Amino acid sequence: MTTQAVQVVGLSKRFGAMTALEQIDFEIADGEFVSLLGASGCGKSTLLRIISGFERPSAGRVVIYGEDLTDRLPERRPTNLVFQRGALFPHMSVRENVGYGLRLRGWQRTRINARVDEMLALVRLEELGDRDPTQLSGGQAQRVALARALAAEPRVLLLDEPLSALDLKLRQQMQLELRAIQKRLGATFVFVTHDQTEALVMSDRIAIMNAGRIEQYGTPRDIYRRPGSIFVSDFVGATNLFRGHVTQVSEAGTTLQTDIGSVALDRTEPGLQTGQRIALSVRPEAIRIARGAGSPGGRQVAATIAEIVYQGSSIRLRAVVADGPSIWVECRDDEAEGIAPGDAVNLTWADSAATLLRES
Amino acid sequence: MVRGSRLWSWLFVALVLFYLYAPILVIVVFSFTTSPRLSLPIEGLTLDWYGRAFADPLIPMALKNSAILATISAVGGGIAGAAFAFGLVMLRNGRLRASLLSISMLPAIVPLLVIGIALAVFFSTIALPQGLIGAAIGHVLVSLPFVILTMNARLESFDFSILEAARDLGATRFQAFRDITLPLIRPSVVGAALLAAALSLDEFVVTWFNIGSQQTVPTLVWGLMRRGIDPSINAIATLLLALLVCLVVASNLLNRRKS
Repeated sequence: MTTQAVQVVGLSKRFGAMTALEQIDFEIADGEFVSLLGASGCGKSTLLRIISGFERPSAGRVVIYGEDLTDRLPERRPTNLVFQRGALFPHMSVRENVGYGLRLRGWQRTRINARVDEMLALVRLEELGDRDPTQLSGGQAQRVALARALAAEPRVLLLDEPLSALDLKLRQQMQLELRAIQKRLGATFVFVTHDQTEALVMSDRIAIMNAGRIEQYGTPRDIYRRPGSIFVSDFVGATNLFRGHVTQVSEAGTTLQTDIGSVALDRTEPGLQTGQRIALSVRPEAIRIARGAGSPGGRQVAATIAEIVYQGSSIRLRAVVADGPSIWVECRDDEAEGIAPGDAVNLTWADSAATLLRES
Repeated sequence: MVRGSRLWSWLFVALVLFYLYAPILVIVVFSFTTSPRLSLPIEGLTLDWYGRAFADPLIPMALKNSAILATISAVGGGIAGAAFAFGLVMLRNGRLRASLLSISMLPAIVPLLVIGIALAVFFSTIALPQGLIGAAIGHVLVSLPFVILTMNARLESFDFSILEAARDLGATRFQAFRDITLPLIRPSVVGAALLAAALSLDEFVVTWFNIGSQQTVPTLVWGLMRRGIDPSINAIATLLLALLVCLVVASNLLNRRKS
């Protein structure tokens, strides 16, 4: 059995009448990179602050490497936090910032210097040790904050949206760098973000949070391919949701009546009943587009192109079903060669690309 | 036309400045002239009046009392005001924070006469004899709102997440205060304390009602002036002015310095 780095058991947090976290249970394995992903106000930062010790839970426990630390002060926890805007000490140089935690531990000056050098090399800032934090760019400041947090060798590193203030290019570069550093150190990282791409790119597992609960916890591929709820399928990546109900369930498959008409699926799912309200989620890039009206029925949907959005490497097309909703399709530019608004097209997708979700 | 109106604006500015500073200038100039009367033309320059001022045994004593009160105001007002402002900005409830700030500003608006009399009556009720102690309490009271106001302005931009960062790296509350908070707010606290000292040095009304038979520089000068204008008063006023300007300038410089 793998060691659990972090175990959160029955955790709830209330601020007055407001419930920020509701019965959270989850585990993070040793050496794992886990993202807490959700919109602002979903409770992800509160959860991180409880793990770091800055907030006390209203109920539940936080166990880190087998030790119950729920009542432990932040300064006595084996966790370190990288703050959203770095939170570097403005009156200390970069080196002093990185070495501060080690100084508190009473390390010898030479030992601190060696460790600071090592950390600055890790984040590739060897040259900037003597600068003041005010002389750093946003990306450099976040690297220093990372070096400072890692210097004390935390058993779990917590990161609270550390890249959110950076521009896109730098953010993408830092995502890969962070991931590489985590791999090299074999450390456990818990990363809070509202950016789904960031979570997909970096994580071993993602916990999708919504309204104080964890909606789904799984690998990026799992989350993207097999979203467990309508919320998850909509929040992670773009998707088409066709709402309706189940008309027939048999060994051979399932038939649905949705807002794009009747749809057949070659599979059934446990507990599915006739009449049940469902939504079918199909990713835009899973939909194939063919010109012409095609044969009616089957697993094709006839639609009319309403809008074409050029995105450079790909294009997005909005197709409208008669009396029905819009369907977004994403494909390579050459796959949609010659298609223009007003054209009648046929949309198809593999059954396996369609996810059946129950309406709650 | 534009040129003309600009000339008028400058003239107006000059007039206002003259109105503001002419009386002060007169005192400073005549503290150095040989004539015992404020009259032109100036016959000669001398430092006699300064010597005369210090020859009067009452004046060094008043200076000593003023220095004691200014020090108490600086230390007491500085520490209490800084602590209060610090607690204030840490409050999460914005409305509570705003009302506490307004309440603490009240003594700056209440007429000094009211504060002076109220303190005198209060001290006599608790049987505290008039003297330096009562005056010191009054001075701290009068300077506190200004200390709180300057500290509050400075702390509004204080990034409290760095204190959490320090705790997170293993600092206790005390270590975080010693290593992070104190070095960052020290210039502002000292600046605010200097302001409190400056306010104390020229405080008259509250002092007058509470100091009893003792004298500070302002009460002494007031007493001397009842006997007639003596140029040595100009000398004392000029010294006081120089000291106050130094304190206020130092206070501003310290508060403006980025941390």
